[in-house]
Order: sequence, then structure tokens, then C-alpha cells
Amino acid sequence: MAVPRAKELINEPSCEHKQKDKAACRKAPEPGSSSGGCAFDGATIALVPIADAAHLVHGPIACWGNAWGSRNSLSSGPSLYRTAFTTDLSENDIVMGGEEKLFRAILEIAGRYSPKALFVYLTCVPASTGEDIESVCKKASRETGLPVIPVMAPGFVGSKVLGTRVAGDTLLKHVIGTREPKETTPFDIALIGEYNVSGELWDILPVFTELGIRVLSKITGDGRFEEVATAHRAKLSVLICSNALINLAGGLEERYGIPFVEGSFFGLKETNGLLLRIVERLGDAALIEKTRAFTQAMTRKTLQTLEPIRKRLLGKRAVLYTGGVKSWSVISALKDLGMEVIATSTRKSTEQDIAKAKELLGDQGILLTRASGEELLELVRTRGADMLIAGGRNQYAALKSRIPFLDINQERMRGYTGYKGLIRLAKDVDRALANPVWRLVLEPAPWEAAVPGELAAEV
Amino acid sequence: MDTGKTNAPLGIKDHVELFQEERYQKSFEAKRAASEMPCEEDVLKVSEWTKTKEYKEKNFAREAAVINPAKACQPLGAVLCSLGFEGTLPFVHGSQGCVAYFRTYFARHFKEPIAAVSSSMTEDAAVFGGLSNMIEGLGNAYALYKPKMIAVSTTCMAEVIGDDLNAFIKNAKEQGAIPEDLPVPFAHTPSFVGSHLTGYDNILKGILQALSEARAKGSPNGKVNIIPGFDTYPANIREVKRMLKAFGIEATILADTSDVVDSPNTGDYHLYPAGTPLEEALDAQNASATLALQRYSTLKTLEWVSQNWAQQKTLALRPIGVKGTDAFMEAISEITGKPIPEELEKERGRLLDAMTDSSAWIHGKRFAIYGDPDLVLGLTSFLMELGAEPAHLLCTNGDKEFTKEAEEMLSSNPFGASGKVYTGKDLWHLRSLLFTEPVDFFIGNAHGKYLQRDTGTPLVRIGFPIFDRHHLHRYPILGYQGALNVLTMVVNTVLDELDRKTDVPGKTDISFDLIR
Amino acid sequence: MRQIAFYGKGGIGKSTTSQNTVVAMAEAGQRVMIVGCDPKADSTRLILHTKMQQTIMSLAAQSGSVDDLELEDVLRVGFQDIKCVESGGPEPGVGCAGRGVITAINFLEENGAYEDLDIVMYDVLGDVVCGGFAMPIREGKAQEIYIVVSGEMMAMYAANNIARGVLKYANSGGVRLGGLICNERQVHREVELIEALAQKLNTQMIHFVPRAKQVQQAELRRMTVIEYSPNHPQADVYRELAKKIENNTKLTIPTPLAMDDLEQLLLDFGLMDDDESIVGLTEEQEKLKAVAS
Repeated sequence: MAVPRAKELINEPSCEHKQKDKAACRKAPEPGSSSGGCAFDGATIALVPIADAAHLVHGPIACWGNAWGSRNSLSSGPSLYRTAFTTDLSENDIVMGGEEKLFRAILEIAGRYSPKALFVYLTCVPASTGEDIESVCKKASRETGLPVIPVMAPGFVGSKVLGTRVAGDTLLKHVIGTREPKETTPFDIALIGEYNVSGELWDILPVFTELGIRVLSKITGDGRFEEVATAHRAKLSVLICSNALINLAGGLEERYGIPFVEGSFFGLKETNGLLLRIVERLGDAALIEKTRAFTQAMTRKTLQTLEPIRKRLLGKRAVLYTGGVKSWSVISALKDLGMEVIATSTRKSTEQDIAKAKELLGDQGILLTRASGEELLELVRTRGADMLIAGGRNQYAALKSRIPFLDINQERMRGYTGYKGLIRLAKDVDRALANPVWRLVLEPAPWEAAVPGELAAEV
Repeated sequence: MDTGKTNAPLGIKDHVELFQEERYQKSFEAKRAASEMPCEEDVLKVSEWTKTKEYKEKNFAREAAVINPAKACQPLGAVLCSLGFEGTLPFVHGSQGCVAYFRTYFARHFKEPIAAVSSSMTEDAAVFGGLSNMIEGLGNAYALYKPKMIAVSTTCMAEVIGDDLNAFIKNAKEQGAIPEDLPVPFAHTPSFVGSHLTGYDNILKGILQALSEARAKGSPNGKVNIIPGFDTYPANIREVKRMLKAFGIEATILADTSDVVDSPNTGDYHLYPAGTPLEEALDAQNASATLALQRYSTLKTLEWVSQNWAQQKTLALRPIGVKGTDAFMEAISEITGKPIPEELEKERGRLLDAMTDSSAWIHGKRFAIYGDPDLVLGLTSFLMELGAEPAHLLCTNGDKEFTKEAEEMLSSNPFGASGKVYTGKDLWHLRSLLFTEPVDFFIGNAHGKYLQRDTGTPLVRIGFPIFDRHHLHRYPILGYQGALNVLTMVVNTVLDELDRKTDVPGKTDISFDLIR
Repeated sequence: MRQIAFYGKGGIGKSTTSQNTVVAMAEAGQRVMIVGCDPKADSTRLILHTKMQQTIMSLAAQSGSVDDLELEDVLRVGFQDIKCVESGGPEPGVGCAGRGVITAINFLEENGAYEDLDIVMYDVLGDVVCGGFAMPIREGKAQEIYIVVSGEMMAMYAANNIARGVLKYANSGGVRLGGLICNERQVHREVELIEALAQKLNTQMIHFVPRAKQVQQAELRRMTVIEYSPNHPQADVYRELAKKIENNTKLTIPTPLAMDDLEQLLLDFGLMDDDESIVGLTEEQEKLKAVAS
């Protein structure tokens, strides 16, 4: 079975920090503690946004039944990716073998939905029983004439990050280079690791359009199969979420000689910096000049729009618990808003990420390697933070503890990247802090305040 | 976009409004024209084809692919049940990803933090068995989260390799990973068998079995046990407790998730906010009767209870709607010898009054209903009490027994005459049905919104999960009060739809009335 | 009700032995069920006079789910009113046979197959290869394990492995090793050898089954010896085994051997050569070496 060459993917050469700390990504989750997503989860996060493909999960109901439709990656066109396809393997299928059922399922989907391609996700059970889904995909591809692509990321091979790497590897191996763009321009880029959560991409694309840069290939937010397949013709790839898909950027460089820049669109400084790095790598003097002027103007304008909110946010303190690039880039964005971050996490972060986080946090800042919900809440309390900015799994524990909260992870309801995103972030942080409900929850009920004993004691 | 050329502030719109704008609509059109997508006409053609009878036949002949499933897996049900016991940590033996999904799934529905852990089996464990993960996992979980009980269920991977929970847990105790006297009930819950209902049933049986082994049967305690079943409405459990209080009856709820998945904001986050006290659960065998409020999620548990606890009565009821609640009241009265409380009689009267007020709007309306078997049956019964006509009952996790019961329910009532029962079918089958044999309204979970979008049939959200509307689970749908809530949701959906169809000034607003 | 299981290396004559044994038990008035736990489904052939077609897994595959099956569909009654069930399973190379065993036993339990019985016999495929094949020895199932073995090296390796599997479950549950059944392969000092192995495993050689042509004669007719030629001495051999099992009180927690100890035992009995100097030499090299010396 050609499952997951986990070691290879984790020892990705472009992943420099891994030379020092190879175990970090591969580290098995600790049994008995609360756990994060699995490799399958990671693979679907990275690939399902390809909107005109059908995504078929080969496994029991558990894998897709509990997860389908729950990502907020938006599409401006086809919505096939939102339809949940699974083989829903039963006990019989597992005992007697499910390859035949998978094959028929692919044919059924290919015949009814005319997808541009089919991604077939391997899950724990058929991986354990040794089903050869790669051969099934090959056979189905011959039969249907469609690309049928096996994604070999059963949950048990590792973490969510490993799953995204498998996804990146899958794109390199089976997708990229299989189509040619109708035309190319000198300023074609591939945008890697932007999943268009809550439409964030649509705050960024107009910026590129404005500058005259063409996003040839969106990988994979609001993505289309054929567009992803042409990524090998990009002049430059721009890696947004560095840790997760670094192997893809590295692979494009190695195979097709496409250089890449890394960065983030969270906050003014990072957005400006990344745009300038992109145009510098594209190397066109006029474009660089134009971009400089653009970023200066946008900075002025953004700051001007932000001004009234910044006044209220100035000096507010937040604990940030997210991962990867966001562990530092969001600090940068919050600093743009005049806020202070007193702690951030280094989950899924590279050494570079950690270094940047340290620099932005300053001497007093705390780097969290891993914290339980309770530990986070404790930190907010003892350090006197005003709010917690984290992911959905910590949201309700924070609210129970009467701590204002903002979701910065994949379940965020609104886009926070780019210039406009920063303003949205400011508004949402402001709302999270200033909502009158906090005054209500923090004040005791009137009769509690009026307990005679307490009054007497105060007197 | 706005650049720095003018001094106007940046206009910030969400994706919600942004794409309604003409320029975006135009740009999408241009993309389609550039053949990035098939042209509008082709899309329409295909989409029209999916509405036909011919397509429905093809769709119903589908046997390998499941499309938009309306069921979840066994361990998810086991986790919900386990959460309902005091100080109990749900522990799922298998790959870690599953538990992450369960926690997110419940957190999104209940809007509450959910505690559950995994033994995090890896590739090695898949080959060599999960014993060491289990021992280490139980040890860590006990040390980190200090539970009073750990309820162990399994994911499909542990099941495929055939891990023996009983032996593993004994080993863990012998090796001192967890104390000898810590209750660690367990159930094998492979997700490739049954659904979340099976998992709920299996672990509840495991928990009751473990607890009654821990203590010998004592003298009768005069209480009644209530098993809610896989119920995602914490308000339902509260409602039943309130009704029993009105009777003056002491009850033990097995398992009481109500204050766990809907706890007050006190300023403190508790890992184990509430749940059935273990002391009460230990005493449950001494009750005079055990009543389940769902049948299909409690089959094995009830069978075990009736064989092992030798109580006066063990039965499953379904207190949804008037008749369903009446049967529940009568059963309680019969078991305890107490009369129906006046308070509840009045409530029933008010419900009947409300039904007479609204039934004219509901009479003759065709409904499709999908969801878990007991919910589908309960709602079907109530809808027929209002004069509605259930046309399609779809239950992905329904079995032969359910089909029989549902068909009998339909055929014994003139309003059910045209109704059909579908089990093992998914929401894509329902989509075909809504096109080829349309209904006026349908009832289901949040996933139904896409069916509403595609078919234009208005959705009444009752079921699980409901991610896209707030707080519905905080209102009961059981008992007379619950029936009133269901009635309110249904009749107001009918009236909203009527307004929506009559709101074009000068064209359709002749019927846009103030008084309905 | 007693539940017992026969394990042993493939091809050792395990199914023949188990079927003859249960027939002897049934003949003595016991109510018996035999459960074949092997995808090949040949654990009941000699009792039914035909290969069982309706295995649990094959019927489940036809109807879509085990939930759709009734006990009568999969249970056949054969010679001496012995109830016969086969788990069945996938074709070689696909699926998960171990899970098939779990599925089948769960089905039997849920459908009341264990009622009104004195003896349940599980005939389990070869070695314990994965968790599923250990299902019959989990708590609440077979409590006595008999290992069918012979004096051949590989059979003894397998027996030791099975003892390891039993030990694993004996620590947490009540399962015990009842003994080794030696099927004669005419190996030099076979009885002594198996007795020595039994001693090291902390068990007994409960019975020695001599080789007899009559067994093959009966098998050709798809019958057990007891049915084909009830008066043949070989029939008495199985009757004796059945009686020994019935009266067996020596149920122990096995002490499997370390690989070195097992090899030493084989060396002691001349089943292995301890001449390290020949390891890795080709025939050609050996010749040269012989010439040189």
C-alpha cells in the first residue's frame, strides 16, 4: 500500500527548520489528552476548496458524516465541492473488501455530476485492511476519462499538518502540470495555502488586479481543477500558510524552477511587505514603483479608516492561541490596531515563525507550546488580558469564563486579511470587547449585590 | 477597488453583501463566458434534468455512493451519552481525528465547550494493536482531567484490528495506570455498524452494566428511571423533569446531559458541569420502572434492563405531540399510582386550544420529514394530529422495524394515506423526492438548507445538527409545552411562506394580510 | 455451557480433529455447536457432508448487512444434531477476515445462537494473526484453548505463538490453555518431544492422535471417522480425546518459550542443526570447504 510516506513529507527539504527538529511535525499526539484534527482532516482542508471537483471519501460514515459541509471555504462559482460523497463503508464492505464499491461509486458520481476531477480520500479503515485505492483510481480514470486522484492521508498517519503536506504532494504528483494555461503573462503567480475562508481571498485578489499581477492558480481557495493544474507555468509562487504546504512550493521550485516567497496578509505591515517581496521577485521596475506607491496610499487610507476604532483598542491586551504563520502575523495585525499581545502559541510553527513571534512579542511575551482550554483561561486571568483570540474549540470555554473572544481560525465568520480585512478585524475585536452583554455578565445580579450581610460587611 | 486616489474611507463589505453587487455578478458572468465553467445554459440543463422523474429513478438505483448522508457514527452517540454522567470523561479508543470532529460537531450545535479525549492510535498501533495507547491514554486522561468515571468507546480503526477493550482496561488497572476502583465502562462502537443511535445504546448499556456490577441490588427506592435517548435538546430533559416534578415523582435521568450541554454562565469553565450523579446512577437498579423516551436508541439497553433489573415496568415511549405525551402521562400515572397533575392537564388544554387556533393553516399541507427514527415518528404523529399530510418519511439510519412501525402509523390514519417511508436513503434521494413528488414544507436539520435552496421548499429546523440557527435546542419539543413549540415553528413557517409569496406590491400583495 | 477453541497451524489436521471430537461429544449426549472461524469455511464439512454454502459473511454480503440475516439462514444441523455455523470471509487478498470473525460471533450472540447448548467449539484459522482471530478467546467466550500440533518444527513454532496469544488474554480474563493435541506426523520421538514442549508451556499433551488411513477414507466421503466407521479403533481415539477434554481439569496459564529456548528444544531433539559454520554457505562453497578439509 502506498500510504503516506510520512517521513519523507516531514523531512521536506524546503522545510529548513525540520533539519534541526525533524520530530516536531511527526510528533504523535499524546494518548488521553484532547486532540486536534487528523491527517485526513488536513487533506480535506487543503483540497476540498477545489470547487468544481467531486470529493469522495472512502470510509465508514465517521469520516465524512461528521465533517461534511463544515468548512467556510467559499466558491464564487461551482458548488459541487459542497456536496458530500462517501462510500459509507459497512461492516460487510470492510470484511469482504470495499474496492469494488469504491469503483462503482466513482462511476456513479462521474456519470451524474460531470465533475472536472474526482479526489478520492483514503481513510483509516480501508488503509488498515490494505485496500489498493490507487489501482481503483487508475482503473476508474481509464473508464471515465476523468482525472481520479487518490489522496493517501488516512487519519492515523499523523496530524492535520501532515495531511496538508500529503495534499500538496498529491497536487504535485497528479494535478500540477497536467493542463496548460490558454495564455501566460510575465506577472503570473500561484497563490498557495489561501483557502478563501469567509471570502478572504476576495479582499486580496483585487489588490493583485490593481497592480497588474495575475493570479494564475489559486491553491486552493475558490480553486478550479484546471487552474490548479496550470500552476507549473507561474513565474512565482506565493506561500501564505508556510508550514502546511511548504512541500508544494518546494516541489514547484525543484521541478519547474519556480521560486517562492512566503508571507502573510494579516495586518498592514505584513501585507505591504509581502506585496513588495512579490514584485521584487518578479523584478519589474515599473511594477515595483507602482506597488510602492500603492502600498503607501493604502496604508494611509487604512490607518485613516481605522483611526476611530484604534482609539478604543489602544493598549488592549490579548492572548493569541492559533498556529503556524498566524502565531506571529496576527500579532502584527493586532499591533497595527494599537493592541498588545501578551502570549501566542507556537503550535504548527516553524523556527522562523517562532523567531518572528518572539520579536513581535517583546521580552515580556509568552510563547505557548501547547495549552489546554483551562490553561489558556488561567493565563488570560492571571495576566489581566482583555480577550482571547483563538479557534472554535476554545470559544465556548472562554465565553463561559466571561472572557471576550474572537475566532481567528478556520471557523471565523468574516475575512481578516488584506487592507479591508484588517478593518474588519478591528471592528470585530472592538465589538467583541465593547458589546454591552459583557457589562451584564460581569456585574452581579442586583439581588446578589443587595445581600444584607455583604452590605453590612462593606459598611 | 478603492485605492488611495480619493480620500473616502475604505468601504468594507462582507462576502454576504459583496457579491450581490453588480460588478461582481458581471465578473462571474464573464468568467463563465471565458469557459472557465460550463455556460449558464448547460448548467441549467443539467440542473433541470436532476429535477426529473427519470433522474429520480437513476438516483434511487444508486447503490455505491452515499451523497449528503443524514446520520453520524456510533462513537459520536457514545460521547453524548457519556457526557450525561457526573464527572465522566468520554474516552474514545482509536485514531485521534475522530474525537476532534465530535468535539467540534457538538460545540457547533450546542454552542458549548465539549470534553472528550482519544487514545490517539497511530500507524504503529494500527499494526500492533492499541493496548499501549489505551494504557497510556487512560493514565494520562486520569491524571490530567481527574474524572470520576471514564466511559470508553471505540472508533472503527480499533474495531478493525479487533482490540479487546475489556482486557485492555483490566490491564490498565493492573499496571496501575488508573485506580482499581475507578469505574471504566466500555462499549465497542464501530462506526461501520449502525449509527450514532447504536453507539448511544451500546455505551449506556455498558455504563449501567458496570455501575450495577459495582453495587448489589438494594431495596426499592420508589423512583422512576428516565432514559432520554440520543436527544440533542437539553430543554427536553428539563421539560420531562418539570413534568415529573408536577406529578411529585422522583426520577433518575440516565443520562442527564441537560446541564452539561447547556450550562449557565457563571464566570467559571467547568470540565464536568453536571450530569446524572453517580450515586443516583448506582441506585438506578432499585427504581420501580425504567422508561425510555426514544425507542431506537435504547433497544439493547432496555432489553438488558428488563432482564437484569427485574422492575415493575420497562418500556419505550415517545412523548411528542398530544397522543405521544398522553401515553407518557398515563404510563407515569399507572406506574406510580399518582393522578395526572392539574397543572399538566391545563397545559394540555392550552396546547389543544392553540392547535384549534392554527390547524386551519396546517390542514392538508404536505410535509417531508427526515431525521432520527423516533423524531420522525413523533413528528409524523403530531403533524397528523394537526391535519397535515406526511408524504415522505426519510430515515437514513432506520431499520426494518422502523419501516414497519412508520408504515403502520401512516396507514392507520387517513392523513397518512399518501405517505411513504424511506430508510437507508440520503439527502440527495430526498432532493429527488422534493422535485418529483413535491411537498409544501419539510422538517429536518441544518443540512436541509441546501434542499430548501435547490427546491424552494421551506424548511422547519427540528433535529440534529443545527449549526445555522441559534438556541433552538434550548426550547423543548417534548411534552405538551414542546408540542406547542413545534406547532409555533410549523405554523409560523407556513405564515412566513405565505407572506413571502404575497409580498410583491401591486402584483401579489392582494393577500398580504395583517391578520392571519 | 462450555466454550472451547481449537487453534493450530494451517494444514495440521485441526478441522478434522475438531470435527471428530465434537461428533464424539455429541455421541455422548452433549448438545454441541461448532463455529468455523476461517474464511475457507471448511470447519463443518465432515459433519454436514458438504461444504457449508451459507456462511454468515457470504449471506451478509448478498443481503447488504448482517442485520438482515436470521439465525436459521446461517445455522445448519448435521450429524448427531450438531449445530454448524461458518463465519466465512473475503477472498484471499482483500478485505479483513479477522473482522469477519468478530462480526460473525457478535451476530451469533445477538441472535441467541448460544441457547440450549452444552458445548461450543470454535475452530480457528491457523495462527493468531490479528485481533479478530483472538475474538473467540475474549472474556465471556471460549475459556479453554487446545492447540493442535505435531512434531514438525513449524507446527511447534505456531503452537508457541498461539500460547503467547493465550497468555495475553489469560492475564486479563479467564481464558486458559487446556493442552496440546498431537497429530502424529511420524517425527522421531514425537510423543516425547511434544510432552517436553507441553511441559515448558506449563501444560499437558492431552492426547496423541496416531496417523490412520481411515481418517482419509472417511474424509473422501465427507464424513468423520466416527460416522463412517464407528467401530474402527481410530474412532475410539477421538472418543477418548473427547472424554479427556470433558474431564480436563488441568487448565493453565501458559508460559510461552523465548525463541532461543524453543530452538534449543528443537536442537535437543535433533530437529535443528546447531552447526553455525554452515550458515550462509552455498552448495558450491560447501563442496569447496569439504575438499579443503
